Amino acid sequence: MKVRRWGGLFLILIFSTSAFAAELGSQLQLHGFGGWQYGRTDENHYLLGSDEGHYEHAQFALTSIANPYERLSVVAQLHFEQEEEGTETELDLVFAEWFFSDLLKFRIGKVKQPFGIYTEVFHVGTVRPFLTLPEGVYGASGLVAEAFNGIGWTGEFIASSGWGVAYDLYGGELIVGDSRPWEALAVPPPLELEGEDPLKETIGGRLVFITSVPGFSVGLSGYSGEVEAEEGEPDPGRTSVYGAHLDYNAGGWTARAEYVRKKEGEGLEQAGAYGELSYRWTAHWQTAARYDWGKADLPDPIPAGGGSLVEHKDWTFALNYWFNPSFVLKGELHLVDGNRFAVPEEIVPGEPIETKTRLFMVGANFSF
Amino acid sequence: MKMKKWTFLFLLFGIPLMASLLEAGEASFKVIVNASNPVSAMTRAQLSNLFLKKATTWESGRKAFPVDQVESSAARKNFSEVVLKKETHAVVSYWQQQIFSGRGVPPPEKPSDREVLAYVQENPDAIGYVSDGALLPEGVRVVRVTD
Repeated sequence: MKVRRWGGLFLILIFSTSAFAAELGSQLQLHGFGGWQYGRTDENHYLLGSDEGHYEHAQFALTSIANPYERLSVVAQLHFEQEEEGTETELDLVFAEWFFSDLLKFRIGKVKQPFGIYTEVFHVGTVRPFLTLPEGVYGASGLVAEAFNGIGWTGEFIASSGWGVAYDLYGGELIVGDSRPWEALAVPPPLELEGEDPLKETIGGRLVFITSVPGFSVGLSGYSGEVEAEEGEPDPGRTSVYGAHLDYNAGGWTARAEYVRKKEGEGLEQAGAYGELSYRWTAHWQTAARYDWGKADLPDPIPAGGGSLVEHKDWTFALNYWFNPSFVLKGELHLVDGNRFAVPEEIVPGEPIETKTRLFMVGANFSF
Repeated sequence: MKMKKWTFLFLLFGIPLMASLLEAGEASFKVIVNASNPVSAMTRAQLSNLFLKKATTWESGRKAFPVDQVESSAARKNFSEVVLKKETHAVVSYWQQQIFSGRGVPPPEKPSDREVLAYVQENPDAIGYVSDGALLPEGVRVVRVTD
């Protein structure tokens, strides 16, 4: 029912934007991206793979960008994601931006969270060398969010020498996903091991230094927000996250690395990092490798046998064939050690957990 | 086992890295503006900023209108490598990031030198590039690009 309703809205959007486009010409643009992927593991569930093979993950998003006035942009993105449980539809972003100058733009609405390298293009497969993002930073540890609801300022300045700086400042609410597999060892286990924590009164920012080396930039990001206390529970305090990244993209090479750390009040601390390197051998063939790491430091001792549930290491190797910059076939192999994100179907206290997981994935990404 | 992994990574990336360091680009295009535009020379970085829309105005404060050539054009490939210091696919990827994060849209693309020349001729604040051998009509002139 929910899918039908969103499908109807999607059709209305298509038809209305066609009419709008006809009226406004180049002042409205319609773009989209999507993909499909298959994943199979030898053990455990990891990313979109299972030991039985998982065929059902497909996604599509439609983005409209309108400039009804010279200084005003209105952006919306509707995202459909098919999983085993059905199709989820989400408004990825919808905001208005007022252009004061290149140094100062004001945004209000639901905006992609500016943090590190990939948060603003979370699901867009044609802008990265892998089917999946590194779990250590972008996975269910809740280090980063996909979007914030609120207001923001953004701008950039680049000197004629090539040096420059780009910044984002924002405030509002962040919805952060979180998964805590070690809680399954508690007796009795909690009903839900995955959840979403709204962070209220969040303030955050990102500062990117653009160097005179073409394609090379480094950045710092951070945010801090308040988790609402549940009735009868003590105030959990503020959650704070900070990180650093470097990004190089030139001459067929991409080299990217990020480190992010999160502290929840006086309790749980988590950290994640990765480094990835890719090279285009020809216009079509690309190889890539990535090392991805994540760790959770619990305030209390981990129950016996649960040490691997707080640790994550993943070596990933990829081979891609690009038909053109908007359509790519990807194949990748993950060699995972740890169960922070690669978990068995059921965690039973006292029973050993297989800590090593191999995942093979193939899929396609496209955009227009 | 660890040694094998590093050898594999070196073969995967070390050889292309050395090869790419030896490559150098040479310009075979000319940058053009409308004849009414007072700008006569620009640095490579200024030009790159306009075409990646990191800067959107001329020094006079007027809005700039860059115009690109289609992805398959030889002039676009050369311009991307020499001015933007990226291969064309990387420029397309940059615009995908801008679009899907809601930050901006790419300049319009024209299929030939002739259409770029016509666009620049008609728009006082436009800037484009054409292949080195293209004949310039009245109302369009070349801008010198410096490092």
